[in-house]
Amino acid sequence: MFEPIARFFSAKPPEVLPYYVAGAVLFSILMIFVLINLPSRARKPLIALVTFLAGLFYATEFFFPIDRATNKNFLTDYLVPASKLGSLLGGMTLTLGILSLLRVHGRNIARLRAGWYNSVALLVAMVSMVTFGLMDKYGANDGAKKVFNVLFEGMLINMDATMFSLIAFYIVSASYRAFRIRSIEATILMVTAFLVMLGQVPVGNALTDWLPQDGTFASLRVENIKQWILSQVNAAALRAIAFGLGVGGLAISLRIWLSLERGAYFEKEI
Amino acid sequence: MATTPGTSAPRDIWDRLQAIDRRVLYVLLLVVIILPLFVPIRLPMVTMPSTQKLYQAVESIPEGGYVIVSTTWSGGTRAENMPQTEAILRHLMKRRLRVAVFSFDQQGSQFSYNIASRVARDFGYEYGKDWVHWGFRPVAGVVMKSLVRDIPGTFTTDRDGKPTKDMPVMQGIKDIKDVDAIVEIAASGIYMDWIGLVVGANPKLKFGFCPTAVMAPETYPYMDSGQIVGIMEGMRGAAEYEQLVNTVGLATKGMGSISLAHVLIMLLIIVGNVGYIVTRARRS
Amino acid sequence: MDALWQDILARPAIYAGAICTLGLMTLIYRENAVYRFFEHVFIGLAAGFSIVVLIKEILDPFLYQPVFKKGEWYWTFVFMFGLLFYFIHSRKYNWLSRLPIGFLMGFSAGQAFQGFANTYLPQLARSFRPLFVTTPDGSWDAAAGINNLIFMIVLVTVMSYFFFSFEQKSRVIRNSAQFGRWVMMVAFGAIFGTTIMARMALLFDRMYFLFSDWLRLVR
Repeated sequence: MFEPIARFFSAKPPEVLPYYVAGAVLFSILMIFVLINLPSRARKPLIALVTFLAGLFYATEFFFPIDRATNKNFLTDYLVPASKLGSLLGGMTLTLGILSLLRVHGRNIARLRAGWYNSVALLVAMVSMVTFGLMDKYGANDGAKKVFNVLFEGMLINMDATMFSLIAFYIVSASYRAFRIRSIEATILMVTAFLVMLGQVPVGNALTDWLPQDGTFASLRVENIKQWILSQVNAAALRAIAFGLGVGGLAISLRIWLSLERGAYFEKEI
Repeated sequence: MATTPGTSAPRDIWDRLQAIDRRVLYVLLLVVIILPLFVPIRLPMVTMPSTQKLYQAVESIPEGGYVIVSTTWSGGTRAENMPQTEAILRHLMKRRLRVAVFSFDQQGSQFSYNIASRVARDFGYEYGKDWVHWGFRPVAGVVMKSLVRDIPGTFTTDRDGKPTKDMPVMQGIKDIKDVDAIVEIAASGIYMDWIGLVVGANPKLKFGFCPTAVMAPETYPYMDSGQIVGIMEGMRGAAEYEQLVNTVGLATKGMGSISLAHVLIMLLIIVGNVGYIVTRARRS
Repeated sequence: MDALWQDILARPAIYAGAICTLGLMTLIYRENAVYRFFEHVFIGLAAGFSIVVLIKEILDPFLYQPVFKKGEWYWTFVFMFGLLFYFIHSRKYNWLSRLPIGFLMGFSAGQAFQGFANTYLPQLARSFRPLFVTTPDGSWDAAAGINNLIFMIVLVTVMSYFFFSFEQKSRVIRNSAQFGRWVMMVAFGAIFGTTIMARMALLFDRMYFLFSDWLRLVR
């Protein structure tokens, strides 16, 4: 019964391929046109159906018994195509914000708003990265590869690292200003933080370096105290929190899958 | 310059202790970070059990074993994740294990390719024969579900678009049961996906995790349960691992600066609290 | 001057990185025009890199190669479906973007069952620990037993803090929740301690880059 469908969706030879691709594009455009004209009341059920079917695939693949002879169930062979589908779809979200960027900064430049030159810099940087980034792979020009290296390794990565490193200044200032032993909780937090901080830097380790490596007194070495805090108290406390998060996460996943989730995004009129 | 929140002017030394100007703090921080670059501080470093366990796990992989290294990090956490990536690759290549690298992060893909190429040159590793880079793959869950069942099918091409099926490094690799270990170097909670979707599928599989230091405490429950065999905790973990594989990298060089920065922060917190306690005692 | 130019031409990426690093670092003094300029350049480069990755590492291997090299024409449908994401910019038809978004959310929701079972069941199993522990030679390991007891007390009290978060009349539960709150502070203190390490490492990396890679003052 499914054989003609499978044959239709099989790989095609080069001589007929353009027709199939063009047909798929035309069909998709037609479907988009149909979707655009879909009545409002049918939209949410359609989204719910798409979400449910996507979730059903992985849920069924997990719950459905596996044939011991083949170590598979009827969905196992579709995991690879599903991963490619997910990668292609997920990858297409990478550039979702670009149109907004172009619109906002294009407007800044066209109206010569304050700081318009920054918008020019942004667009020049973007175009340069795209041009040389693609030439790096598809071109054979060594100069282009060097420019890409300057843009990626030289500029992008260093700026990314710098942006994050700025937090170091703020964390010093914030620790100094906000860390006050106003309560038992704050005192416990500070004492633990100090012990962990001492335990993870060599200068802290040096403080108790005179204690023996083994035996009862070894437990008092600062790195061992830190290790005990992390592996006994911290691990148990975070495991308890993780149990709560896990159950909550599962409940939310179930609600999303069945389109029962509420909130601004899910309840908005469409 | 020094003012107490809620008041217009500083009153006495105890108030001043609580309100040191931020620019003074910034300069102090820069000094303690930069100074050890010129006056190196050499202090003994103890290897933590979490790092030791990861090292032992790699040591226990049989010769010619297969290891997947995933690098889900970007430039923002380069300081921690780059030395981790380099240290673990050095160990794997030193042990002559087959290595497959890929990334769930777009920058991480380029980074890991550059680092792996450099380390591979040092150890005479040949691309396609001894190691391969599978490139960038978004949407981690679907990729993990797929690689459990079919690795060559999931990664049909490498990051340059070359087919992987004929590469010698992929020979004999069908699914997760053929993989000895997975090491994830990440700045995110992706280890949960590995544990949830991959780790249980092969009971012999060793899963090592190299998080940023800030994430390390949350991973301890999983090391306790054996779902993670070992953890390389941020730059400190990388420095310990560098020591274990006999190399001096960025992490080892940074320990002096980071030690002093910790001392500075602790001193500042103490100073602020001394001012706070004395002020409070006087008021009461 | 010639030597400087030669050095710049020999190491353009390092010089570019140093200028960008210093430009962004001016923020620690205060918000300024130099910082804003480099901030815009950074956003532009990051956005451009996303386009490069989309083409090089997504569209090429997952669309162009399968469709035009292997004849797997049906991936065209997935691409067209993915284009619906971009309707998010349309005021009138942005609901169309919810179709692929819902699809990806469904994918991840469907995996949640397996994720939950494989992640938390071994955790649960490892939470029940023996209080009487013996060493391999058969003698009593008191320290391990005490550690196990502490572990379980912490686990139970933190859970009681969350499970009984509403007002409790039972003193036992109240005290247990209070203790749970305290031990959570130990965990948060540990996280704070490691956060300092993480942030300082990032700043060290920048200083090392400037003084070693760029200025070559440090080896």
